Amino acid sequence: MSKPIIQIGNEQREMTDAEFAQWQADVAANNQESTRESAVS
Amino acid sequence: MGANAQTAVPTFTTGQVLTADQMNQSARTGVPVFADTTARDAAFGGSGEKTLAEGQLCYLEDSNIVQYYDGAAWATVGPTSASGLVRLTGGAFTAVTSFSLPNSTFTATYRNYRIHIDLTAVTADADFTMRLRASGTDDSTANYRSLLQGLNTTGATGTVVNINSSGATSWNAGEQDAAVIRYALEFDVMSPQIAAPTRCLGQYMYRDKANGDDIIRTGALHFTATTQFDSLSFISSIANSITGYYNVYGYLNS
Repeated sequence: MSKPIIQIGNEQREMTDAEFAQWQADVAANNQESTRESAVS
Repeated sequence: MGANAQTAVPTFTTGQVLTADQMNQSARTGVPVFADTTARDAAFGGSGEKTLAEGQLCYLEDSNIVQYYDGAAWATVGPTSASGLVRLTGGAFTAVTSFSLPNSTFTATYRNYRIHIDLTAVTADADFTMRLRASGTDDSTANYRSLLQGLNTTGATGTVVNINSSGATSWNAGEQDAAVIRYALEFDVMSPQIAAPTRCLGQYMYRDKANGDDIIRTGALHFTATTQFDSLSFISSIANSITGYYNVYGYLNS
């Protein structure tokens, strides 16, 4: 199974194993918008 | 009318015998090239040389500029030095999970930078983050702080959607609904290449993925350690999801 594509400058390539593991961990931890948004009033 | 003023731009015919005046006019209407201002000044007014007059142009090799003589002094055509804001890199990205500025985008040449990101398509509702980068690797240490004040387009009083996070492993860069693309970001990045905390001031807007509202957030991003960075990554939570454009500019120090 191919890994997600990233772009560095003008070059595209698949994530390395380490990059893929980091990205998966970020998504799994939901270390993104939903957990950081303060109370919506 | 000055000595360089023309009343016509002639076209000569085959076999026509040109007069000295016609040849002089032809020779004089081009832009002479000089090594420097000393050579330029020595080229006019001497024996067998043209008398300097208003409208004369020249090109100087040592400074790569075009000048004109206004009747009293030489003046430079266009800016006399590079603009204060210099485009360093940019381009398009298509259907990627993240994009990173080229290595060594941030250098000792500039202290501060401006970044523009403009998304034109997102394949699924996505969250975005940014990380600073050094020598080809994103920094995922828990030194990122995001302080952003948001305003929602709906709600009678303008619903706020603020961000106040510290000790995070990335900066908050908002989100985007896949159906209605609004995402745009501009940030000034302060001293990423200096051994000091990196700070960003700016804003981004997007279409909220849950409620379909347009949101603008403005504020600051702060990396609290003193790591020196040469690049930055913009990361989507959805694989191969983002398409758009980016540009990075450097602020000249002087």
